[in-house]
Amino acid sequence: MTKVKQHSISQFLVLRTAITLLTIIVIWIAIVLNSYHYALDDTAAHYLFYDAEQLAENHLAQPYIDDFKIVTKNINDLPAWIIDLWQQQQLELNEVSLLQHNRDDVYILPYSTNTTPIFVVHYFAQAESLSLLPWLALIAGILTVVIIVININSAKKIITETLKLHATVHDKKIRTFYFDEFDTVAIQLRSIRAKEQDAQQKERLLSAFLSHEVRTPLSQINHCLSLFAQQDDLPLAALPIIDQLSHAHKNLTTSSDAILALWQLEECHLHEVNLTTYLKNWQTNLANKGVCIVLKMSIKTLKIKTYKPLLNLMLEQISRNYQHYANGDLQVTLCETGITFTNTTNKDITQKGNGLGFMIINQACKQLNWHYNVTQQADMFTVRLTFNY
Amino acid sequence: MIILLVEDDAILAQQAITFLENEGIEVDYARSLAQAKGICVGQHYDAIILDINLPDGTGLSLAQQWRDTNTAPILFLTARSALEDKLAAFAAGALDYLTKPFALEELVIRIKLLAKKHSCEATHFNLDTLSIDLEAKIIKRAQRTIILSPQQWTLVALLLRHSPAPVSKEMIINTVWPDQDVNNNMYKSLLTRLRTNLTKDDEVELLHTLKKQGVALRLAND
Repeated sequence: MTKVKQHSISQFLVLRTAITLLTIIVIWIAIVLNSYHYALDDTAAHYLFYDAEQLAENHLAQPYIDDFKIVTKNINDLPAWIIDLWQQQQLELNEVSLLQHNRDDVYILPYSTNTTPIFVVHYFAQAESLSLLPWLALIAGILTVVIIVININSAKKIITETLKLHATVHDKKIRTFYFDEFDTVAIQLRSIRAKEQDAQQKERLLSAFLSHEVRTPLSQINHCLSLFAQQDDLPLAALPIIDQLSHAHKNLTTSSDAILALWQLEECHLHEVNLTTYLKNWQTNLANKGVCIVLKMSIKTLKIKTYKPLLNLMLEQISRNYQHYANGDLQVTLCETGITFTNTTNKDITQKGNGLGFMIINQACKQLNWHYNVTQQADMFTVRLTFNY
Repeated sequence: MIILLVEDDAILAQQAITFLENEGIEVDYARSLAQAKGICVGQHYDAIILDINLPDGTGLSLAQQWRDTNTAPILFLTARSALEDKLAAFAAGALDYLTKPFALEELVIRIKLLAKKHSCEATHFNLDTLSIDLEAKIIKRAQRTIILSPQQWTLVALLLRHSPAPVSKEMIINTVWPDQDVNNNMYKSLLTRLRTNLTKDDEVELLHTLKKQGVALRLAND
């Protein structure tokens, strides 16, 4: 791959804008210098003042009138329209004014002396001055084309590089950019991606390590229980103890599975669960412990892919919260989109919990890709778990 | 039956070996690929249990090397449950696959099934969801695998022979403990363990104690 020389986008834009403006300035100056001889500058003013001083020093016959100029002390020698201007005080003393009259460019200078002012008028036929219009049109045309070409190319370049940057955001290909800034962004993006992957890898390894550390001793306990099952002549008194040990091991295994799943849940752990049956069993189990749940189901069967230990953990937290902080029955509603738990709060209980239960539910929902929402209106407390198919 | 166990976790291996030997399965043990290659020279096995992650390589590579020379069915043990790992194991010639942690009961059943020690229909017994293969010593209640101690097997075989008729306490004691002094607790312990093993949760009770008659293996209304 050939190495692309990189540029700063700001330099890129400034350079092109500067070239465009510089071109305009250069062309304009050239036009001014070469075409517009009759601009109002000190040269024209100089000759008017010169003529006025000549008359004042009596080097010029008064009044001096020809086709091109009038130099006089007598205002009545001037054309009527200039007299009107003077009377309307539109002509300043010792200031040259350039006016257009009858297709002539007319310079007028009222020159002040100790007595009456000297009036100097110079005429220039406009026809003798080159018209600027064609030049301006030509310049405008050229500049328009130049500006369009430069800007189109610049825009194309920027758009191409921007699209390349967008593509880099979405895929993992390494690309070289024309602009430094884009290249910097791409490098930063690659670095962030690498760090993210590294963090995810570390999390996976930690999860695998924790899983191994927890499951290995559990597995050994399970194997010991199996070895017990193979033994003959176990004392009668030992049987309930072994039974208790077996139950405790089962509960510990379920809890460990749930806790490890809060950290990392694999796709292969998800299995179809019939939620209608599951909730009915949950209702029965809690009824045996004296906890009343009113179950409403708008559908006969709802099978959903989920992880049972996490489901157990969530419902355990919900029932615990209900038993601690609620009054009356726990209303549970199951529909196709989710499960809603509603109860009235017990106003006599002022001490609030530390939120651990909802933290666990929140994390479990994250792993299962469910949405979790808690609302309280007056004394009605509602938890809503929404499935994400 | 003799099998080869290749597993580097010594504790797991010891527990599995003890359990399997109690089930009447002789076990040769190797901790690594090199040891396994050495042990199996000139030896025929009814089945091979192969851990995938071994200190000197993967069990998959060993299975591939054995493809042309080994006829024993292979069961892989692994900590990984991903589909691609299972497919790799089957591609390497495995006939079965068990993910750790596993129950020893499940391991025994799978080995027995792999080694094809199934017998003819005469040694099979079915009652409700209970299924017993006396020759292979496999007993299941629905999907639940049941592990019985040797005395429990003796009792089950006795009850099966007489089923649905009850078997007296005296006959049970003479059969299970022919040369021992037996106290009532030993008898009760055996019956309690067998009853607990055969029926759990909502399953229909199959072991019935009939007053002055003995114990019968049957459905309640037989």
